[in-house]
Amino acid sequence: MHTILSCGNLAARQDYSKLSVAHCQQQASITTVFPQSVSSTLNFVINLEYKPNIPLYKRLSDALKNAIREGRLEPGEAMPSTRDLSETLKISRATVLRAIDDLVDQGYINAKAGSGLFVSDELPVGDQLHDNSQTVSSAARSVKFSKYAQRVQRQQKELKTNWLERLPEIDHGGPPLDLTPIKEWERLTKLHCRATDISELTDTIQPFGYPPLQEAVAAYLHRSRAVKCTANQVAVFSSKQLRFELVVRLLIDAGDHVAIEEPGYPEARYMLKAHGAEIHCIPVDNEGMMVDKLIELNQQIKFVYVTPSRQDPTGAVLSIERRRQLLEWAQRTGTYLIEDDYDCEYRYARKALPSMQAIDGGDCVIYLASFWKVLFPLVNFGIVVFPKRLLSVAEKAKMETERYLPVVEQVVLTDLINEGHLERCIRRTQSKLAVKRQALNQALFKHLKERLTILEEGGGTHQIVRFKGRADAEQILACSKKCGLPIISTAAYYVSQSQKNEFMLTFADIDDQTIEATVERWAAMIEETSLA
Amino acid sequence: MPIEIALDCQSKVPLSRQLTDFLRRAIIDAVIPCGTLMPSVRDLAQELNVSRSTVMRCFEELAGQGYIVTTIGSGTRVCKRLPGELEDEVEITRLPAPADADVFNSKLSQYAERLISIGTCLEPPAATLLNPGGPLIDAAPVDRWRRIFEQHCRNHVFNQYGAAADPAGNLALRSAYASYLSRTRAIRCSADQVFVFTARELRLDLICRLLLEPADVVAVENPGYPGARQRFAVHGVTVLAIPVDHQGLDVDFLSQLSQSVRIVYVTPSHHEPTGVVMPMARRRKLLQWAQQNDAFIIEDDYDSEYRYDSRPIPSLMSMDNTDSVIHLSCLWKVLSPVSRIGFLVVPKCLVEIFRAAKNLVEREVPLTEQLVLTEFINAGHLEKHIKKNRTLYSGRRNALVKALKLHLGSQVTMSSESAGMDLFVKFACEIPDQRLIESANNSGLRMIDAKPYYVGEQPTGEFIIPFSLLTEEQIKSSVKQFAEQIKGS
Repeated sequence: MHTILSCGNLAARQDYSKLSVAHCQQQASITTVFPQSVSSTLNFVINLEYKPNIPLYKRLSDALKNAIREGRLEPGEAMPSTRDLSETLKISRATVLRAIDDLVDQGYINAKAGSGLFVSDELPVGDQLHDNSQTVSSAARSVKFSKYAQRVQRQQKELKTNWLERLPEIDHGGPPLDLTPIKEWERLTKLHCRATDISELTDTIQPFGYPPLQEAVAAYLHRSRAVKCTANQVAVFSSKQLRFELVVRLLIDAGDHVAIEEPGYPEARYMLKAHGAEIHCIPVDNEGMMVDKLIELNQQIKFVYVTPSRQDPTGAVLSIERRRQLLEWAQRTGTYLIEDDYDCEYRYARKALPSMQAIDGGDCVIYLASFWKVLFPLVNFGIVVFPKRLLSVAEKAKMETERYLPVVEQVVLTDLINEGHLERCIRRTQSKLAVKRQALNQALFKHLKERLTILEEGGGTHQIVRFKGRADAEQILACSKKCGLPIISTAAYYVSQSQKNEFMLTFADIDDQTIEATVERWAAMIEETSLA
Repeated sequence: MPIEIALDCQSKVPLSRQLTDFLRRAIIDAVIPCGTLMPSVRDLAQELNVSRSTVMRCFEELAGQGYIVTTIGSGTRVCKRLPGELEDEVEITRLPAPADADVFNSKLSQYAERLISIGTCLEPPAATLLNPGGPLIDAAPVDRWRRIFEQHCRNHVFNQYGAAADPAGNLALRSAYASYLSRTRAIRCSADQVFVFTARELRLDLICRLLLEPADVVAVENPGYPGARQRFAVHGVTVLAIPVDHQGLDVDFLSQLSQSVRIVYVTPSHHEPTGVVMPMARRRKLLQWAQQNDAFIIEDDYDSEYRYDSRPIPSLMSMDNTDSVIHLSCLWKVLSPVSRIGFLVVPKCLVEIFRAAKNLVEREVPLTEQLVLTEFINAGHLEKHIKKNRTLYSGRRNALVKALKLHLGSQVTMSSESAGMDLFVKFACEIPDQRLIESANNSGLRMIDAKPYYVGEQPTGEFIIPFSLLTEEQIKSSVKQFAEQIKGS
């Protein structure tokens, strides 16, 4: 709603004030023609357009700024007094003062002691240039990209995906928000924000992270995963990708050979491809990566990327025999193993095996961990435990790519681990997840027993199902979207032979009370579409 | 138990934390063997002269982490099998190390090999050297920041995660920063062109990777920021050092080069280390050169916030209409230590590739910090804060200049540019550099040798004096003391 009022005299002004109060209450837009002074013919308009979430003082300062920009208030001209503004617009002096402060700070007006407020003679540099700069639209410049950039582009084209749309899918499997230790996190954050020694801490932060955090992580990984390392082998990264990225850059030149699992984590493959690595896909069965096939390759390989504690996505656990076989082979041939322990926290049936890092005697495992499955989205840190032989070069690379990490978050995480909240949270979440998983499996068994196979692997936050016979993947996805059942196709995890009808049902966010009804609807819908 | 436990009552680390850390370390290192009966809470509290609740809290944590176990009636014992120990029953033992330990030696990438061969000035102590003149900690808006932070915590920002996540950085922050740049640096860009980085070093690294091949040539300022030189060198490109005169980078020198330069790295708003501000004419010349040579200019605008005597000159990027300038900036000089986020603004022709690459290398940027910073900019705190500190730092700079003139007179020449948080000085006296630095340090004045900024010949007697951390009084007395020391020697 726009109201334009001319208020040249006091009476009209007072009338207007009543109106404007009413408008303010309705949160309408107020536009008023403002008399510069009683005798002046120069009026300027203040348009206090209502915008959600933008405080009144900000709207006033924006309006005045516009008046100055558009030349309705000229450089050097006296500003109306704050009293006038406050009375006319019927807003408090405090608000007007705040708006004026804002403009003084941004350089639009000057306060001269004793004589009031004036529009600045020269506008802030940003505005100045905008008025007289030619708006030559640059013709799309052709850029000579590096080979790396060209590979990234090619891949982008192949995938034909909008990353933003895919984010929820990529980020699947985080814990439900109500199970993250959010209260503890907030308490500790406030505590550490309050302690004014943030500045002191800053100086103690090394490229590999905040030393007490390195110590806490080393102890935690030793407790939970039997990882054997000293604190200085632990490197903290601000994101999971940067962590893998750095490892890859230290080891891979374009054309080098690497081995990964198939099916396997697509993001790792994309990154390796961007680096120009020759990728060998090693099949996976119910004991994890088939190490025999890897050995049969008879190829000089820089590293093997493997997810032994819970193969992504099948959930298979790499058996003890294969672990030994893989480690022995790696040590014999001088190959690094990148152990991505991304999903080791939740087990339902059998006990977790210790990490491969724990039984590596040859200093060849690069161990990757994160708190993704427990603390997402509170903290995104990624962890690498480097083998000793890579430490010095890794430190240098870290300096060159990420020297500083957020301070408060690191201190908070240190306490969260040391005070035991992390492990308590894992136990609590695990028991909740077990209930959800149980409910989901029962429902699937009850309603879809004939149509699909449930892969029986006890861990993580998703369940793998395979549809039998002919079923249209697109239709299955569409049906689950309609029912609100969280489901992700595993097609992206395959390179050569895609399992078209394999899906991950992520159960972290489902409600164990209503899941049966949802699955029943889903089953009915699938039945319907496949008959049609 | 004959174990000496030393607790530090003065430490900021709580006593229970100290005790837990100590006992856990002792258990892991088998100083306290498995199965040992722990002393009772009461005894331990008495012995250490701490409250019983402190000891109880410690025991609870250790029990929660699986190091000790309490059985009713028989007290607390160290667990028989500690967490993290390999289980015998599954026959997992650590494999022996291979006999030939050298098999790995030739296994690194060329990038890593370059890192190893170049890495001299990468050692951590250099970190302080590479960033002289950090902001005054007291002047950092820690309180304001904290308040917004707490407010966001209360509002459960994490619920918004899905909507707020974006590989390029939170959209609200990018918009806020774009308009901040437009106000202060005259840059007209859309939020799409802005990228938010947690890892500031990654910005230059990514530019190199997307635009350069090892055979390419880049140009940097001489003297100039050694960190940038280093980053280019690690990528294996040829780095040419272009001399700097009283107007900044010598563009004529650049035009006469026989090699075709792909990228030039400059700090036009406050040259590192001399403090020279590149005048408009030189900027136009540089832009013209870039256009003619199909090159990119990296404008590192890291220290543009503080200018004392004149209005800031608009940035190179704001004058560019040929998509040649990549703009680096960060609020480190203003907001450290609360925020260290770095920003990158790329020309339109590079938006797409940077989006794709950013998504591959750093998809997640801490959400809370981004939201707090957004609010901080939008509510005007940032500019208010800069304005406030400008007065403060300006006073300190004047005090330093005055004191140096008063006490050292013609022995020292200073840069005339009144900007930044450090002062570039040249000594004309015979005293060796090391002595000057020692005398300065003894007088409480920090003086950084400018030699590492030079490629090739390194002149003596050139230093950077960061002044932001000293009060005017301190500056006066330190300089006086410094002058006396030099004269005495």
